[in-house]
Amino acid sequence: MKKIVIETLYPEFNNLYGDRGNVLYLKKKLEKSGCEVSVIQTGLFDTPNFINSKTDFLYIGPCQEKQQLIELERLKEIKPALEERINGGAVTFASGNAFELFGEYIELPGGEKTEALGFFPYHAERFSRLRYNDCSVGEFGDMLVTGFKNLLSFSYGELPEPFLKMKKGAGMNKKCGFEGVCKNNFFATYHTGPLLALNPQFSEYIIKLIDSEIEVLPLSYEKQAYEKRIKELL
Amino acid sequence: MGKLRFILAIAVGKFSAFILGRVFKRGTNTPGIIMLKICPDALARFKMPETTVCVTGTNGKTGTSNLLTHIIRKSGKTVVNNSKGSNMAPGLASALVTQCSLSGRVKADVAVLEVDERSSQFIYTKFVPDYILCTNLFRDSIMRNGHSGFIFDKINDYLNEKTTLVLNGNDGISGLLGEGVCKRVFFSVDRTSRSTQECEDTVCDLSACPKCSHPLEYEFYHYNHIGSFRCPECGFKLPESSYRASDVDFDADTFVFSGPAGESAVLPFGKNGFFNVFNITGACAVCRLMGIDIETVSESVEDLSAKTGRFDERLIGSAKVTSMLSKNQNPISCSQSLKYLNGEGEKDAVLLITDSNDKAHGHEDISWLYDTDFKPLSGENVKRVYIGGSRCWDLANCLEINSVPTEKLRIFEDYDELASAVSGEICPGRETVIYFELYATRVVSKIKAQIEKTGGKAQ
Repeated sequence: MKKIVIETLYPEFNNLYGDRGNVLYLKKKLEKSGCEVSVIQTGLFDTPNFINSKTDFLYIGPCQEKQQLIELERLKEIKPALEERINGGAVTFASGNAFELFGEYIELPGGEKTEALGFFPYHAERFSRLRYNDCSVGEFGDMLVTGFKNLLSFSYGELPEPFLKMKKGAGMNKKCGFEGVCKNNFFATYHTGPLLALNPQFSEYIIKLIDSEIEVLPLSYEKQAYEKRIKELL
Repeated sequence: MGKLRFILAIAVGKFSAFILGRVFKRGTNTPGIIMLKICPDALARFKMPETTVCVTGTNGKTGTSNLLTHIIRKSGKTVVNNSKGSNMAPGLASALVTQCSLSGRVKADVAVLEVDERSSQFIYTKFVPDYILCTNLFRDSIMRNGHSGFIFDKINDYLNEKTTLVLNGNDGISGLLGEGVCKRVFFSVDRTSRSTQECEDTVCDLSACPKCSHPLEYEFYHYNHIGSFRCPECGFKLPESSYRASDVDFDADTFVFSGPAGESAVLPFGKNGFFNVFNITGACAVCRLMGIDIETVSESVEDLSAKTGRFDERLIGSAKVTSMLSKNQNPISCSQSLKYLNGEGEKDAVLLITDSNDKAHGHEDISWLYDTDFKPLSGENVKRVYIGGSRCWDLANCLEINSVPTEKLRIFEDYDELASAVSGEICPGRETVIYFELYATRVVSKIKAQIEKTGGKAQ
């Protein structure tokens, strides 16, 4: 039996909006496909597992705005390890405002800037009041990926390797037709919520990246839910 | 000019309230909407009663406000409240305009106003409440409320130093409101026989210290992040509670309320369950702060212990049918009502809690389902789980991911087919528990009507 290790970074912060559904889904799906799965929850003051041991899937979810800046300071301390992981092609998935951590900086409504990890040439600007909600559909290769967004900021700048070409809903900001990052096997998206549970096709792709030998078995209702949503949204 | 405008707004507001009351025979927000159109700062111009209490928080606002109103009335004071209208500015304006003189003097001794968390800036900046009772803060509807930190700021930014805050000493989120600004009085519930060492619910909105971000140490949890904690790193904890609930007895449904003057009373918490202990304790704390004697408080709570509109239990022929209104996209409240299934006896559950056609309430985003605790559906006593509506496949998928056995699931996109299936498959001696959102009220009535037709027997 294949052993798969999933790690969630900082779940005490990164647990908004049903994002826990991503790991919950992946675990269920891998188990159904015959794998033994262990999930490691790494707290803000713990040393991440991926630094010293094989970690097949690393997940970073969205958090509250105040917490984002605290988390960023912790991430800066492990920046070389994160960079090595991304360059080395290990599967990593960041969702919601975790996307912003990998850009150049985060700008607060008052103009104050906090330096981010600086892996990619974009930056985030927080809204002063409103939030942005939508249900969107984007293209990833020949796949359609659907998800939700609930954001208090948008990003600007360049996306040399975007994740999705949007068909419905905003990109990394309202004027941009693209969103997210897909570099090697690193995925960052502005989508919040259980993106993997909503997109069986994309999730299968992710599982194949984790281990191409896994024969992915479907869950009972995921395809119907996915097809119905896509049909209604487009 | 402003004064004239206000008087005009009162006249028009009163007139529209009179007409609407005659025609529709119910309370409405329309008089308030019209009033605020004519005079946008109307809420700042009323001459408010001697005492104004606002009740806010994620869960328990309505129950707490109703209880407060009841106790205060029993003490012999007159009360104006917004129980018939909304908990936003127009609802408050409607409530006040129907009970004020033409000069805007509110004719009551006390105002008890339920306030939506997000409306704080349109209300607390207009008049200064003597007391604000915050029941708790949790994650709530994603599309409307974002996250608990967002809502916290929405309230905290508009507090006035003259307001006394009455806060839940078991809630480390709302417990930080008004720190360093307002006078703060805490109430809390002591450890009970059902308290746990670990958080047994799906989500805990506070596991890191709000001051230093290190892991908090909980002495016990009541539910979710509601409990008693301290930070071993920086020593942070909430101040001692002046008003307390202790000796919660789950067989007799009673607890002991006590206050700083040595006063105490045994109070019933009724069918609403354990959450009501918090609502009652908070309401009683405010009443005691207002100087209402403990005997009046205690007698009034006893009168009101079993009433709630969200829970309906009836016997139709031989079939027991229970329906519960499930709050809009609120995973905490939904999880708590699902716990009802853990009770004894065989049950069938009917879930009418998500539907993309209900655009008005933003049901398109189903993320909240993944924060909801569906464990009770896996219990052996739960035999079937009916799911209805346009997002039934999403809910089914979420249940499968949460390891609810798929053999139990009966899935219907069409509500009428679901209603026929539920009523047609009624099992004698088994309770049917319906969880529904407001939009599905029609479906619930239909299910009940069909069961009634068959006399509660399977066809």
